[in-house]
Amino acid sequence: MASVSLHAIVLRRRDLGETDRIVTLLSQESGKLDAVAKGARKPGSKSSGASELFTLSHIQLAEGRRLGIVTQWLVLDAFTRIRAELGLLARASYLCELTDKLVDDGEPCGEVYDLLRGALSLLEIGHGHPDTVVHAYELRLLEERGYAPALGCCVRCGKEWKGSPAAFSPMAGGLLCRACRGGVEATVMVRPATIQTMHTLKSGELTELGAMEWKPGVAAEVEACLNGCVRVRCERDIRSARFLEMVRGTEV
Amino acid sequence: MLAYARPLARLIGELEKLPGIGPKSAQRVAYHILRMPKSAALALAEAIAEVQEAVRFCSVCFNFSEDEVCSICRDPRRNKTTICVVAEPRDLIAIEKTGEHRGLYHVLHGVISPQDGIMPEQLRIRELLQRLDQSETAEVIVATNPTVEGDATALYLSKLLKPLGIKVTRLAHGLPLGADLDYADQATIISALQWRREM
Repeated sequence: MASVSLHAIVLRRRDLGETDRIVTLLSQESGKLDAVAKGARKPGSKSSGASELFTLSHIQLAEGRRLGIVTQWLVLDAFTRIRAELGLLARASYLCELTDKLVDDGEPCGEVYDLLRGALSLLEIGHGHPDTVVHAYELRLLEERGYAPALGCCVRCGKEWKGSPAAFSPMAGGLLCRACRGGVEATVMVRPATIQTMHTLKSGELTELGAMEWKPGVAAEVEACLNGCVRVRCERDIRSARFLEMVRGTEV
Repeated sequence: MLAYARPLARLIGELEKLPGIGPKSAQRVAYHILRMPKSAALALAEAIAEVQEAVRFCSVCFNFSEDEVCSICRDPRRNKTTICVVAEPRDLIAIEKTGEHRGLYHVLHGVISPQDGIMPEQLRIRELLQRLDQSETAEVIVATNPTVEGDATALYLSKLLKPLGIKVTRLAHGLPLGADLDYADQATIISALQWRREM
């Protein structure tokens, strides 16, 4: 039986039969794939902890009839701090669900794997405000998937953005200049600082974003713009987003 | 042409809807029922009908009960200052079988699951808060599974209850009794190390 060795993060899991689980994994080597974790729901099973959400493992995957079967798990990071804080858990759930929705099965996506692993690690070590990590991840994932919003010029006419307040349309795919915004529905009016912040989130060194300071009002505008982009690109709701919104509402 | 007699096909179809019962198992159970004495088959059918008719939720803890208030909530010998919160009625049975917990229970009927869209308002959390408001509870033991969903539920409850001045505790995580460290998975060992206690 053919067997491959993969580094993978658990994006989603669901029960199979009485004791098994189907896990959706994002692997560095083979992209997104579903696999069976045999006996993962049995007490004391070696794969019960390893097949939990967000867990990063080095796995051995054996060929199965329809789905691969995980025969060995070596946990590299269980992200225990994320699981111990409601705000971090809500954000990590959202990042994994967003990745699951935007990545198709089997397509090579080592960069997305590195991005997600990096984002989870930053949440785990508590690097800056957790929403900085979330928004940077959203922008970079959209860019990697080819859906990056246009932030440097008008998405319609290509006129360069010169630092004035502008309209942002998730449906049109970025900024709209004054002349082009007429008749476009669901636009968000954004201040220059918001556009500048999105530039930094998209291009700045991920590990240096922790020191980033959020100007008043900017966080809400960035959130509105990116929520819109994600909804347009996923073409369906991200369920974890509702929970994350509720948790954000309880944070001081 | 239908291979089964119509009533048998109907029974197989109904049995297949049960958890863990596939087409083969459903067929085996159906043939077994067919070969049972008529009285035993009718007793089974009556038991199924009765459980639907006579069992309801306890109005206090939301465990399944035959009466308005279940026997645990009615028992005057139970410690009324401690409530153990469980996700499902079967978890209550597991804890009750140990005989270690002499307090009361509260059944949530599920856990918060962000990815499945299960939110706190879909669980019996509002009822727990009302109950705590009207009682002298000093401690809430959160006995959810050590899964991400169980963690989310425990953390959410802790966030809600701590400001009320109630002590919130959670069942320990780690190695099961009789386990071999060498065979335990790393996630469990990490958890056991984090939840270690002084001797």
